[in-house]
Amino acid sequence: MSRRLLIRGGTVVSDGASVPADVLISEGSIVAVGTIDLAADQVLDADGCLVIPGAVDAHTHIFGRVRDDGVSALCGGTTTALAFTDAEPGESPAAAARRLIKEQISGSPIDIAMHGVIWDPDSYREGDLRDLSDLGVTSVKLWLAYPELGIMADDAQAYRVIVEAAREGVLVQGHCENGGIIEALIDELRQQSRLGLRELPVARPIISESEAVHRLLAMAELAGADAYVVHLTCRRALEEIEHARQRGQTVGAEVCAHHLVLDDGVYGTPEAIRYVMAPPLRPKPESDALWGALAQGRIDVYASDHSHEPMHPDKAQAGDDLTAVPYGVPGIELRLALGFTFGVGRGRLSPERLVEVACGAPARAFGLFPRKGTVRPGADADLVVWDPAVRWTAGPDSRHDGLDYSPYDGLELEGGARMVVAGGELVVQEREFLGREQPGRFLPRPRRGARVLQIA
Amino acid sequence: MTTTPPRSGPRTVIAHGTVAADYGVFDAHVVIDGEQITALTVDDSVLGSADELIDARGLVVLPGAIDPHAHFEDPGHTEREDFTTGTMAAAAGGITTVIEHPLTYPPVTSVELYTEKREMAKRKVVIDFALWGALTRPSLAHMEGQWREGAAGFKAFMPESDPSYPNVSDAEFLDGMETAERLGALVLVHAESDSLLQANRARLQSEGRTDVAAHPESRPAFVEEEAVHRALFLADHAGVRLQIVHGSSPVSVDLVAEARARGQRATIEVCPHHLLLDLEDYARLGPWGCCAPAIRDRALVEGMWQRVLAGTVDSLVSDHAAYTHAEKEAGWQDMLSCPLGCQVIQETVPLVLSEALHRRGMSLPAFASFSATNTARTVGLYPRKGTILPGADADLALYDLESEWVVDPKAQQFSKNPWSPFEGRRVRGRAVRTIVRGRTVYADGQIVVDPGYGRFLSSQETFALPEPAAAEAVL
Repeated sequence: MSRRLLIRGGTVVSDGASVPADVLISEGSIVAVGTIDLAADQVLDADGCLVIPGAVDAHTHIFGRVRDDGVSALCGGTTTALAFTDAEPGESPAAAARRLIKEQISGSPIDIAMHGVIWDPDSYREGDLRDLSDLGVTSVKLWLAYPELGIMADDAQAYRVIVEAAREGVLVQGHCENGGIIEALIDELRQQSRLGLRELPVARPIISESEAVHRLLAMAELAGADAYVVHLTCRRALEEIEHARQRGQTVGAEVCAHHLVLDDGVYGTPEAIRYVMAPPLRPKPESDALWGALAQGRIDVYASDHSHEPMHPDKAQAGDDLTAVPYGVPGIELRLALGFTFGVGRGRLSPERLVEVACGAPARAFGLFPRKGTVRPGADADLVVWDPAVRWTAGPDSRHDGLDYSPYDGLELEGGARMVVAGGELVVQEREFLGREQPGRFLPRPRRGARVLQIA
Repeated sequence: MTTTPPRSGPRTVIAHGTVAADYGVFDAHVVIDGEQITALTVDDSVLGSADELIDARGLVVLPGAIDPHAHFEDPGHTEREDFTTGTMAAAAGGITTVIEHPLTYPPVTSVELYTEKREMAKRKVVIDFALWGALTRPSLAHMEGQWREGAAGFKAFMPESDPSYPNVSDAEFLDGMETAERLGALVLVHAESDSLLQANRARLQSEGRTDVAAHPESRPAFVEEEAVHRALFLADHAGVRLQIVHGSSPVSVDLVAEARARGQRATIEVCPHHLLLDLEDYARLGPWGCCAPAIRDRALVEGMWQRVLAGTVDSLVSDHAAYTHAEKEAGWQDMLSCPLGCQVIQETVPLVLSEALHRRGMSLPAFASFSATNTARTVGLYPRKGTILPGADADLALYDLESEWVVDPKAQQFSKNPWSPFEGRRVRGRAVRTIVRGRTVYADGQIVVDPGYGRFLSSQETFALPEPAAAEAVL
């Protein structure tokens, strides 16, 4: 008999319910949940803790640095990442995915599933999504912004991709900002010599986002595709999603940690460079509304949009120029702690709802459920023993991503991972990485609509 | 190296079944110590520790259904049904908890009548039960007392229904709602407009109508929809939680959904006869299909199914109403005075399961929510009842989803006067065993516990504070 691990004395929070229960693990799977009098080789004490499914981060950019980002994820309680595929010039989406599976997964301490990306809409060919989904990559992102980088899909290009996505059972993700409007606004700001970071919200306004959400969903409706709006930031965009849902469309909505926890007040400060991302931070009433929508189930998924761009040299060198600073902030490690602190701790989310949006819903949305995202017999043994009583301060000493800054430095956090079990191995204790014998795995996903598993 | 925690009673293991809970479907042994589920496991070593091993190979383990809408006619008309026969029929249909309505004889309008009925029923039931209190003019001053005695919530009739149970004026309704809100109690309402109904009845009577069609003509969907609208408006004003009982019109469901979207705490239930019968069936059944709200036309039935499958109809209930054959048969003489209601408690869950799962593609978790979990949440019994989790009461129904049978009341029913509007209907899916708090109460066609096994569930001891509705997954 293989080694059996018993997590004893905690409260299991999963699938919308909280129950005092032990969890028994064997051979990388959960074999029992409840009050267990079965034999175990090792007992982990979860007294006073929540026992939750290993968190699933639906939105990450970790390729190129999977080791550091993976360790960072684990220390924060995330055991599975859905990662956007970076492509080399001339590489098709499937070729990029194939290369990354080969080159990157074995170095990752966490399990990874992939999102395809249309990096070069001019060279998209029908069949690209079929090739992608044959690899188990059954979601694809379109950029509706960034004409300056040559990655923005125009409407005809986007629509063709969406049509194939509908046919292939691929979920369409959109980075929803209207690149044309933003280009014009930046030209205007340039003429006025106003390209400082304080103008970021002016350059990338709410309406550029809600317009692009509307357009993505209109195309998805026409093509009959399911859609998923990444990093939603505002009420206007959410209204577009709700209208589409009322018409019967299936639309997922994702919010990222920074858009909930931070607001655009930071852009007027000398620290603005720590908060450069797109879409940018919004005024506080927007983040308040996002919390409400997340609690009510109108937003499905809570993600990080983790990026490992360091402050030095690239960001710092670019200086106070919104057209030059690389976009993106880290967040894979702190996502759960931020959710517990600012969501559960402030009474905005129940613990059950946080677990749903951080673990269950991303697994459901991307076809990983019930292998991931739930604590039940048969699920992968990815578990977090979350100590709600720990108090700590985010800062250089507490992070494991090897980066030289975080937008969350200095925040007082409530709760942390006492232990993390990934693939049946105890890999984190008191927020410190213990090492992992088995590397993470690539998680192929079924096409949407494929009835591979009889699940909720 | 682990220590063994003390068990709270004999261990029953339901082995090798497929657990079908509100939150998912998975293979697991269900371990029960005493009355509660203690673990869900795929570890076969647990099988050796069982005092009783139930082989559930090939079976689906659903949470026992919770039926919050039954009329057992006890006290007063025990020639029709009583708490023993009614709960036996429920158990045989996979129901493990029933909440019985106050429309008995006399109606339960005082604290004394409530406690007398409760004590009487305790000795007679074979499954767990609770009792609704009454929201009527004579009981307004007794609501708090009934609540303290354990009433699960309060039932009001907007239309005159059974002459013995006083319907409420809007003012009385609001008064009772305000009391219920103060107590934290749920209000149930039979929503049909009395004014519109009485006008229709008077017109039809003046025309000399006694025929089968006269009944549905006297209470078209509009009569229900208007009252649902008004009840929601009043409940919003009072700030009280409201359940619309036996909704039969898609418009009613949409009104509730809209109220909920505005933040109101409102729910709606549906009966099997409003999902599985239409006006063609009714024309054939006459009195045997005569109920209020009336059976609807096919378009409305399909509209209800659409909403059931979309998850906007919260709960499946029976609205079980028993009558003697003579009482129902007399309805042919004058359908406008036909006794209202259908005897359906034993077939409710399997009939709807058969249609929902096999013909309309509903998922098992959605069905578990529809038949058990949502009601448990609405009335405050979740997570003690209505789900399959460690720590929950071991209230379970084992189903053979493929077993086919035909509704044959005389051969099958435990009710006093076997009859069913569904007689002769083919059903796919059968409850083969029903377990209440760890003990098998029904198996293989037999009730295997004595009357009195069931336990009273008091709002003062058993029910949890109401929680906000669970968020619905969109993707």
